[in-house]
Amino acid sequence: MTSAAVTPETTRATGDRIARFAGDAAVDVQLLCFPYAGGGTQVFRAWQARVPPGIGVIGVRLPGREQGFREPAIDTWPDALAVLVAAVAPEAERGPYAFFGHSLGARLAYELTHRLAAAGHRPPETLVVSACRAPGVAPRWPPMNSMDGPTLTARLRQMKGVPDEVLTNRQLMAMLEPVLRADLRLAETWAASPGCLTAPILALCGERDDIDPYEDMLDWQRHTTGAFAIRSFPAGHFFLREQEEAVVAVIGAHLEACRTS
Amino acid sequence: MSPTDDQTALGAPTMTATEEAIAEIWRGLFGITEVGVGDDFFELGGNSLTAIKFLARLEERFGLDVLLPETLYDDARLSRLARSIDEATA
Repeated sequence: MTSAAVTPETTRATGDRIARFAGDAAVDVQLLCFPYAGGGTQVFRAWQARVPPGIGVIGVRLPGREQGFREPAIDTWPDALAVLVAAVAPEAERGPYAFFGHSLGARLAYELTHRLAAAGHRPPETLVVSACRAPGVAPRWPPMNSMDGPTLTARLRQMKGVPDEVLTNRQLMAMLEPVLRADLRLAETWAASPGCLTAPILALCGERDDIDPYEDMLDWQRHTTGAFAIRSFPAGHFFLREQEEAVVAVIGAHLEACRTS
Repeated sequence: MSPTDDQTALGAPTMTATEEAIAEIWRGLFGITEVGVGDDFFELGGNSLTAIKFLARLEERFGLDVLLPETLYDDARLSRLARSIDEATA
Protein backbone atom coordinates (compact mmCIF):
# COMPACT_ATOMS: atom_id res chain seq x y z
CA MET A 1 0.00 0.00 0.00
CA THR A 2 1.45 3.36 -1.00
CA SER A 3 0.17 6.88 -1.28
CA ALA A 4 0.96 6.99 -4.98
CA ALA A 5 -2.56 6.33 -6.27
CA VAL A 6 -4.33 8.98 -4.25
CA THR A 7 -3.03 12.42 -3.43
CA PRO A 8 -3.19 13.65 0.17
CA GLU A 9 -5.57 16.43 -0.88
CA THR A 10 -8.24 14.02 -2.07
CA THR A 11 -7.86 11.76 0.94
CA ARG A 12 -8.11 14.43 3.60
CA ALA A 13 -11.53 13.98 4.99
CA THR A 14 -12.43 17.06 7.00
CA GLY A 15 -15.84 18.29 5.96
CA ASP A 16 -16.24 15.43 3.52
CA ARG A 17 -19.21 13.11 3.91
CA ILE A 18 -17.95 10.44 1.51
CA ALA A 19 -14.92 8.16 1.83
CA ARG A 20 -14.22 6.15 -1.35
CA PHE A 21 -12.27 2.95 -0.98
CA ALA A 22 -12.22 1.61 -4.55
CA GLY A 23 -9.28 3.75 -5.69
CA ASP A 24 -8.84 3.56 -9.45
CA ALA A 25 -10.76 0.30 -9.90
CA ALA A 26 -13.73 0.30 -12.29
CA VAL A 27 -17.03 0.48 -10.38
CA ASP A 28 -20.40 -0.82 -11.69
CA VAL A 29 -22.27 -0.70 -8.40
CA GLN A 30 -21.52 1.58 -5.47
CA LEU A 31 -22.08 0.16 -2.01
CA LEU A 32 -22.72 3.08 0.33
CA CYS A 33 -22.11 2.08 3.94
CA PHE A 34 -23.35 3.81 7.09
CA PRO A 35 -21.61 3.01 10.39
CA TYR A 36 -23.05 2.29 13.84
CA ALA A 37 -23.10 4.87 16.64
CA GLY A 38 -19.54 5.77 17.57
CA GLY A 39 -18.19 3.96 14.51
CA GLY A 40 -16.57 5.53 11.51
CA THR A 41 -16.16 4.91 7.81
CA GLN A 42 -12.87 3.16 8.63
CA VAL A 43 -14.92 0.09 9.54
CA PHE A 44 -15.61 -0.38 5.82
CA ARG A 45 -12.15 0.26 4.41
CA ALA A 46 -11.15 -3.42 4.51
CA TRP A 47 -14.40 -4.44 2.81
CA GLN A 48 -13.18 -3.24 -0.57
CA ALA A 49 -10.71 -6.11 -0.84
CA ARG A 50 -13.46 -8.62 0.04
CA VAL A 51 -16.26 -7.60 -2.37
CA PRO A 52 -16.56 -8.97 -5.93
CA PRO A 53 -14.93 -6.90 -8.72
CA GLY A 54 -17.07 -4.01 -9.92
CA ILE A 55 -18.40 -3.09 -6.48
CA GLY A 56 -17.07 0.16 -5.07
CA VAL A 57 -17.26 0.48 -1.28
CA ILE A 58 -18.02 3.95 0.05
CA GLY A 59 -18.23 5.00 3.68
CA VAL A 60 -20.65 7.81 4.55
CA ARG A 61 -20.12 9.94 7.62
CA LEU A 62 -22.15 12.65 9.32
CA PRO A 63 -20.64 16.04 10.17
CA GLY A 64 -18.59 16.03 13.37
CA ARG A 65 -17.49 12.42 13.05
CA GLU A 66 -13.93 11.13 12.61
CA GLN A 67 -11.61 13.71 11.07
CA GLY A 68 -14.49 16.18 10.97
CA PHE A 69 -14.58 16.25 14.78
CA ARG A 70 -14.20 20.05 14.84
CA GLU A 71 -17.51 20.48 12.99
CA PRO A 72 -20.70 20.54 15.08
CA ALA A 73 -21.86 16.93 15.54
CA ILE A 74 -25.36 16.86 14.09
CA ASP A 75 -27.78 15.06 16.40
CA THR A 76 -31.28 15.67 15.01
CA TRP A 77 -32.96 13.71 12.25
CA PRO A 78 -34.01 16.66 10.03
CA ASP A 79 -30.43 17.99 10.03
CA ALA A 80 -28.85 14.58 9.52
CA LEU A 81 -31.13 13.69 6.62
CA ALA A 82 -30.70 17.07 4.94
CA VAL A 83 -26.93 16.61 4.99
CA LEU A 84 -27.09 13.01 3.84
CA VAL A 85 -29.54 13.67 0.98
CA ALA A 86 -27.22 16.40 -0.32
CA ALA A 87 -24.19 14.10 -0.08
CA VAL A 88 -25.76 10.91 -1.41
CA ALA A 89 -28.15 12.15 -4.15
CA PRO A 90 -25.25 12.81 -6.59
CA GLU A 91 -23.96 9.28 -5.93
CA ALA A 92 -27.44 7.87 -6.64
CA GLU A 93 -27.42 9.65 -10.01
CA ARG A 94 -24.09 8.08 -11.03
CA GLY A 95 -25.62 4.66 -11.57
CA PRO A 96 -26.64 1.53 -9.68
CA TYR A 97 -25.96 1.61 -5.97
CA ALA A 98 -26.88 -0.18 -2.77
CA PHE A 99 -27.08 0.81 0.88
CA PHE A 100 -25.65 -0.98 3.88
CA GLY A 101 -26.19 0.30 7.40
CA HIS A 102 -25.44 -1.20 10.79
CA SER A 103 -27.65 -0.25 13.75
CA LEU A 104 -27.81 3.59 13.63
CA GLY A 105 -26.47 3.26 10.08
CA ALA A 106 -29.41 1.06 9.08
CA ARG A 107 -31.85 3.70 10.35
CA LEU A 108 -30.04 6.40 8.40
CA ALA A 109 -30.03 4.26 5.25
CA TYR A 110 -33.74 3.42 5.58
CA GLU A 111 -34.80 7.04 6.10
CA LEU A 112 -32.51 8.17 3.31
CA THR A 113 -34.08 5.64 0.94
CA HIS A 114 -37.49 7.16 1.68
CA ARG A 115 -36.19 10.72 1.16
CA LEU A 116 -34.46 9.89 -2.11
CA ALA A 117 -37.60 8.17 -3.41
CA ALA A 118 -39.73 11.18 -2.45
CA ALA A 119 -37.32 13.44 -4.36
CA GLY A 120 -37.56 11.23 -7.45
CA HIS A 121 -34.03 9.79 -7.33
CA ARG A 122 -33.05 6.35 -8.53
CA PRO A 123 -33.71 3.84 -5.70
CA PRO A 124 -30.96 1.58 -4.37
CA GLU A 125 -30.66 -1.89 -5.92
CA THR A 126 -31.02 -3.18 -2.40
CA LEU A 127 -31.11 -1.97 1.19
CA VAL A 128 -29.10 -4.03 3.67
CA VAL A 129 -30.22 -3.39 7.24
CA SER A 130 -27.93 -4.85 9.85
CA ALA A 131 -28.37 -5.14 13.63
CA CYS A 132 -31.42 -2.88 13.64
CA ARG A 133 -34.94 -3.58 14.87
CA ALA A 134 -37.71 -3.02 12.34
CA PRO A 135 -39.63 0.27 12.27
CA GLY A 136 -42.16 0.42 15.08
CA VAL A 137 -40.53 -2.27 17.24
CA ALA A 138 -39.88 -0.99 20.77
CA PRO A 139 -36.27 -0.83 22.01
CA ARG A 140 -35.27 -3.44 24.59
CA TRP A 141 -32.82 -1.23 26.49
CA PRO A 142 -33.08 2.23 28.10
CA PRO A 143 -31.61 5.13 26.11
CA MET A 144 -27.87 5.70 26.53
CA ASN A 145 -27.44 9.21 25.15
CA SER A 146 -28.41 10.89 28.45
CA MET A 147 -26.57 8.49 30.79
CA ASP A 148 -23.93 10.05 33.01
CA GLY A 149 -20.30 9.35 32.09
CA PRO A 150 -19.57 6.32 34.32
CA THR A 151 -22.93 4.68 33.52
CA LEU A 152 -22.37 5.17 29.80
CA THR A 153 -18.87 3.75 30.02
CA ALA A 154 -20.11 0.72 31.94
CA ARG A 155 -22.82 0.06 29.36
CA LEU A 156 -20.38 0.48 26.46
CA ARG A 157 -18.03 -2.00 28.12
CA GLN A 158 -20.92 -4.44 28.51
CA MET A 159 -21.88 -4.03 24.83
CA LYS A 160 -18.30 -4.71 23.71
CA GLY A 161 -18.63 -2.07 21.00
CA VAL A 162 -15.72 0.10 22.11
CA PRO A 163 -12.34 -1.47 22.92
CA ASP A 164 -11.29 -1.20 26.59
CA GLU A 165 -8.11 0.63 25.60
CA VAL A 166 -10.25 3.38 24.07
CA LEU A 167 -12.70 3.52 27.00
CA THR A 168 -9.88 4.00 29.50
CA ASN A 169 -8.01 6.62 27.46
CA ARG A 170 -9.13 9.95 28.92
CA GLN A 171 -7.77 12.15 26.16
CA LEU A 172 -9.30 10.16 23.35
CA MET A 173 -12.62 9.65 25.15
CA ALA A 174 -12.86 13.38 25.83
CA MET A 175 -12.76 13.85 22.07
CA LEU A 176 -14.95 10.88 21.10
CA GLU A 177 -17.67 10.97 23.78
CA PRO A 178 -19.60 14.03 22.49
CA VAL A 179 -19.68 12.46 19.02
CA LEU A 180 -20.78 9.12 20.41
CA ARG A 181 -23.57 10.82 22.38
CA ALA A 182 -24.72 12.64 19.24
CA ASP A 183 -24.86 9.30 17.40
CA LEU A 184 -26.75 7.67 20.26
CA ARG A 185 -29.20 10.57 20.40
CA LEU A 186 -29.95 10.03 16.71
CA ALA A 187 -30.26 6.26 17.09
CA GLU A 188 -32.52 6.60 20.13
CA THR A 189 -34.82 9.33 18.78
CA TRP A 190 -35.53 7.50 15.52
CA ALA A 191 -39.20 7.86 14.59
CA ALA A 192 -39.37 5.55 11.59
CA SER A 193 -41.06 6.75 8.43
CA PRO A 194 -44.08 4.63 7.66
CA GLY A 195 -44.63 2.91 4.36
CA CYS A 196 -43.01 0.54 1.95
CA LEU A 197 -39.90 0.88 -0.14
CA THR A 198 -39.55 -0.61 -3.61
CA ALA A 199 -35.95 -1.67 -2.98
CA PRO A 200 -35.46 -5.27 -1.81
CA ILE A 201 -34.41 -5.53 1.83
CA LEU A 202 -31.77 -7.88 3.18
CA ALA A 203 -31.73 -8.02 6.98
CA LEU A 204 -28.63 -9.23 8.82
CA CYS A 205 -28.56 -10.08 12.50
CA GLY A 206 -26.38 -11.55 15.21
CA GLU A 207 -27.58 -14.80 16.80
CA ARG A 208 -26.51 -13.55 20.23
CA ASP A 209 -27.58 -9.91 19.73
CA ASP A 210 -29.71 -8.91 22.75
CA ILE A 211 -30.14 -5.32 21.48
CA ASP A 212 -31.63 -5.99 18.05
CA PRO A 213 -32.39 -9.73 17.99
CA TYR A 214 -33.69 -11.75 15.06
CA GLU A 215 -37.35 -11.58 16.09
CA ASP A 216 -37.20 -7.77 16.25
CA MET A 217 -35.89 -7.66 12.68
CA LEU A 218 -38.46 -9.90 10.98
CA ASP A 219 -40.91 -7.03 10.48
CA TRP A 220 -38.52 -5.41 8.00
CA GLN A 221 -40.32 -7.62 5.47
CA ARG A 222 -43.35 -5.35 5.81
CA HIS A 223 -41.34 -2.37 4.57
CA THR A 224 -40.60 -3.44 1.04
CA THR A 225 -42.70 -4.31 -1.98
CA GLY A 226 -39.62 -6.13 -3.28
CA ALA A 227 -37.86 -9.24 -2.09
CA PHE A 228 -36.98 -9.81 1.56
CA ALA A 229 -34.37 -12.07 3.09
CA ILE A 230 -32.86 -12.37 6.55
CA ARG A 231 -29.54 -13.96 7.53
CA SER A 232 -27.95 -14.42 10.91
CA PHE A 233 -24.37 -14.77 12.05
CA PRO A 234 -22.98 -16.51 15.14
CA ALA A 235 -22.07 -13.39 17.15
CA GLY A 236 -23.54 -10.48 19.09
CA HIS A 237 -24.57 -6.93 18.13
CA PHE A 238 -21.21 -6.16 16.53
CA PHE A 239 -21.18 -9.26 14.35
CA LEU A 240 -20.05 -7.23 11.35
CA ARG A 241 -16.62 -6.96 12.98
CA GLU A 242 -16.41 -10.45 14.47
CA GLN A 243 -17.81 -12.07 11.31
CA GLU A 244 -16.54 -9.57 8.76
CA GLU A 245 -15.53 -12.09 6.13
CA ALA A 246 -18.88 -13.93 6.24
CA VAL A 247 -20.91 -10.71 6.36
CA VAL A 248 -19.17 -9.16 3.36
CA ALA A 249 -19.44 -12.46 1.46
CA VAL A 250 -23.22 -12.49 2.00
CA ILE A 251 -23.56 -8.86 0.91
CA GLY A 252 -21.33 -9.43 -2.13
CA ALA A 253 -23.31 -12.49 -3.25
CA HIS A 254 -26.58 -10.61 -2.66
CA LEU A 255 -25.43 -7.68 -4.81
CA GLU A 256 -24.32 -10.04 -7.57
CA ALA A 257 -27.78 -11.68 -7.48
CA CYS A 258 -29.49 -8.26 -7.64
CA ARG A 259 -27.35 -7.29 -10.61
CA THR A 260 -28.15 -10.39 -12.64
CA SER A 261 -31.86 -10.58 -11.79
CA MET B 1 11.60 -0.30 -5.67
CA SER B 2 12.47 0.88 -2.17
CA PRO B 3 10.73 3.90 -0.61
CA THR B 4 13.96 5.86 -0.94
CA ASP B 5 14.21 5.17 -4.66
CA ASP B 6 10.57 6.11 -5.02
CA GLN B 7 11.03 9.44 -3.29
CA THR B 8 14.21 10.19 -5.18
CA ALA B 9 12.41 9.49 -8.43
CA LEU B 10 9.68 11.92 -7.39
CA GLY B 11 12.22 14.46 -6.23
CA ALA B 12 11.02 14.24 -2.61
CA PRO B 13 13.53 14.85 0.19
CA THR B 14 14.64 11.96 2.38
CA MET B 15 12.91 11.61 5.72
CA THR B 16 13.84 13.55 8.83
CA ALA B 17 14.57 11.58 12.00
CA THR B 18 11.07 12.31 13.32
CA GLU B 19 9.44 11.26 10.07
CA GLU B 20 11.46 8.06 10.03
CA ALA B 21 10.42 7.35 13.64
CA ILE B 22 6.73 7.70 12.70
CA ALA B 23 7.23 5.59 9.58
CA GLU B 24 8.80 2.85 11.68
CA ILE B 25 5.84 2.83 14.09
CA TRP B 26 3.37 2.75 11.21
CA ARG B 27 5.17 -0.12 9.50
CA GLY B 28 4.75 -2.14 12.69
CA LEU B 29 1.17 -1.02 13.37
CA PHE B 30 -0.16 -1.64 9.89
CA GLY B 31 2.15 -4.49 8.87
CA ILE B 32 3.37 -2.73 5.75
CA THR B 33 6.84 -2.16 4.35
CA GLU B 34 6.47 1.12 2.47
CA VAL B 35 5.51 4.35 4.21
CA GLY B 36 5.95 7.79 2.64
CA VAL B 37 5.79 11.30 4.09
CA GLY B 38 2.53 11.94 2.24
CA ASP B 39 0.81 8.90 3.74
CA ASP B 40 -2.14 9.50 6.02
CA PHE B 41 -2.71 7.56 9.25
CA PHE B 42 -6.39 6.99 8.48
CA GLU B 43 -5.76 6.17 4.83
CA LEU B 44 -3.53 3.35 6.01
CA GLY B 45 -6.43 1.98 8.06
CA GLY B 46 -5.96 3.78 11.38
CA ASN B 47 -8.85 3.93 13.85
CA SER B 48 -9.32 4.93 17.48
CA LEU B 49 -7.61 1.78 18.73
CA THR B 50 -4.56 2.07 16.48
CA ALA B 51 -4.49 5.80 17.32
CA ILE B 52 -4.00 4.92 21.00
CA LYS B 53 -1.18 2.51 20.18
CA PHE B 54 0.45 5.07 17.89
CA LEU B 55 0.21 7.87 20.47
CA ALA B 56 1.56 5.56 23.19
CA ARG B 57 4.60 4.68 21.08
CA LEU B 58 5.22 8.35 20.31
CA GLU B 59 5.05 9.05 24.03
CA GLU B 60 7.68 6.36 24.75
CA ARG B 61 9.93 7.82 22.10
CA PHE B 62 9.38 11.59 22.41
CA GLY B 63 7.69 12.20 25.78
CA LEU B 64 4.26 12.90 27.20
CA ASP B 65 1.60 14.72 25.14
CA VAL B 66 3.95 15.24 22.23
CA LEU B 67 0.99 14.69 19.92
CA LEU B 68 -2.61 15.20 21.02
CA PRO B 69 -5.47 13.13 19.57
CA GLU B 70 -6.97 16.36 18.19
CA THR B 71 -3.83 17.04 16.19
CA LEU B 72 -3.85 13.53 14.76
CA TYR B 73 -7.50 13.78 13.74
CA ASP B 74 -6.99 17.27 12.28
CA ASP B 75 -4.45 16.22 9.69
CA ALA B 76 -2.98 12.75 9.83
CA ARG B 77 -0.35 13.04 7.09
CA LEU B 78 3.02 11.79 8.23
CA SER B 79 4.90 14.98 7.33
CA ARG B 80 2.37 17.12 9.19
CA LEU B 81 2.52 14.96 12.31
CA ALA B 82 6.31 15.04 12.28
CA ARG B 83 6.21 18.83 12.13
CA SER B 84 3.83 18.96 15.12
CA ILE B 85 6.13 16.70 17.12
CA ASP B 86 9.18 18.74 16.18
CA GLU B 87 7.39 21.91 17.29
CA ALA B 88 6.31 20.31 20.58
CA THR B 89 9.80 19.04 21.36
CA ALA B 90 11.71 22.11 20.15
